[in-house]
Amino acid sequence: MDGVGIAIAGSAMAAFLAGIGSAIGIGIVGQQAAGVLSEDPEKFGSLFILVVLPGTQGFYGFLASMLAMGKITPNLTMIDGWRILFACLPIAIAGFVSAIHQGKVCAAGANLVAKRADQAMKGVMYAVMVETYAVLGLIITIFLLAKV
Amino acid sequence: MNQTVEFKPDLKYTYATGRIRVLETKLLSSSKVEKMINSRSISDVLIYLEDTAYDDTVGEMKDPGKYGEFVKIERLISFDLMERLILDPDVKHLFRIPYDFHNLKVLLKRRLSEVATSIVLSDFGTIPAEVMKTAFETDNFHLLPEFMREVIGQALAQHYLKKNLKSMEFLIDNLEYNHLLFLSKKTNIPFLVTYVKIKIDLTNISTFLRIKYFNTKDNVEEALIEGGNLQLRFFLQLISESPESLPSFFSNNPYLYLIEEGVRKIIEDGSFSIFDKESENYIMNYMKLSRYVTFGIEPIVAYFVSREQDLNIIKMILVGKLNEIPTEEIRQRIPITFN
Repeated sequence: MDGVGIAIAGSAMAAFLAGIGSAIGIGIVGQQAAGVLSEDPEKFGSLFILVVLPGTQGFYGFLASMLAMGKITPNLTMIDGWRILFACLPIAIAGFVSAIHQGKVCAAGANLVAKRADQAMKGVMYAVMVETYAVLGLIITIFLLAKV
Repeated sequence: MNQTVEFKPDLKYTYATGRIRVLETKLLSSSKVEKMINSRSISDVLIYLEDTAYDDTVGEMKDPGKYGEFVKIERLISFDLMERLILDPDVKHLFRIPYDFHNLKVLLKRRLSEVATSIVLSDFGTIPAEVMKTAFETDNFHLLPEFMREVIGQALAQHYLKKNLKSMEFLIDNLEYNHLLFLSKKTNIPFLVTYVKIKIDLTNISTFLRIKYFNTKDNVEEALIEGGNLQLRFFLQLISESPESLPSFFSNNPYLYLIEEGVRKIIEDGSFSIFDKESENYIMNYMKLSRYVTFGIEPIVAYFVSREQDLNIIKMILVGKLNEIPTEEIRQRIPITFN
């Protein structure tokens, strides 16, 4: 495999690992929110933000993937290819893991909304705590790509 | 409540848990129960049931004296919801099988006793009541599942051996709880296994206290059920102990409070009302542990048990008001609610 192939693998990993994590995370909280809505449809607004939160990692992965693609040139060396791949790993792994856990925290938040809709923002705040680590992963990926 | 239990998150139940969390808000709250107890009339009691899970059925209740019908309809709703939300058939059976055993005891008593029993069969079991009735009328027990045939065989053998209906009933209770314990272990859900073990312990403590205080001639070893957290030998060593000293033997187990409170009242006036209430409270406190589960079967089971508790509370208050029992006396017998 040449440098281009390795860099493409890194770019793809950022997009699909973070994307898979987001899909799983939204799947968890989405089902829980659907359960709440089946009994109380008026809570849609309070639940919406909780359901979309685990989706952000997928976007971070997409952004990192685009930045990595911008670094790929036809004569990329193998060393630079590996550099791009490793630069993509922080958001790929942090995005994958944090999105799943954020989905679980959001599901707990959906339970909170089920009982106390006025407390929805507290549930969102806890979910945002998990988001921090995906953001850190994205920042590191951006800085590392800037060094290539 | 010192009971601890391991929870197993189960993503299969994310939708169901979300739904249950909303439904839980419509269960009776302690403040609502208090208002119901303090109501001056039955119609006031029914007003407090508006905006609860029982709103629709109460609205259709023409005569409060027919609370039995109300409970039956609400129980149907509970089982219907359980059928739709719980995916594991063993869990559903766990809550239906006690009704099979109830029907079995009624039919066996009708057959073996010379006194006609007026207790009606229940439709909530896993075996339709009509099928059980036909099986007994025609002696065609092949209509029944294998486990039930085995129970009938053992129960009849016990009756012919001991010539004692009570002894047969004890055996049936033993077989029932053994079957429930087997089913709960099969589900591999620690919350359910512990629940069945608690039920066994509470039944054993209740049986033991009743035998001891009413001085019945029942054989303690025969009456107690195996499989609970408290071993049979533990109860046997208490046979000769004085009533006042009993709580000290429970100092290292989670039932201490209900034994202390229950025994105090039993010594005072021979009433088991506080013991029975504290037993219900113990189970409800155990169910409240399901609040810490984000997704899993536990909240659904807890909702089902809490709904049953609510129905019992409504029934007790309605019966109390219909019979003009003093408010304080009703209050003393009412167990806690989930909310």
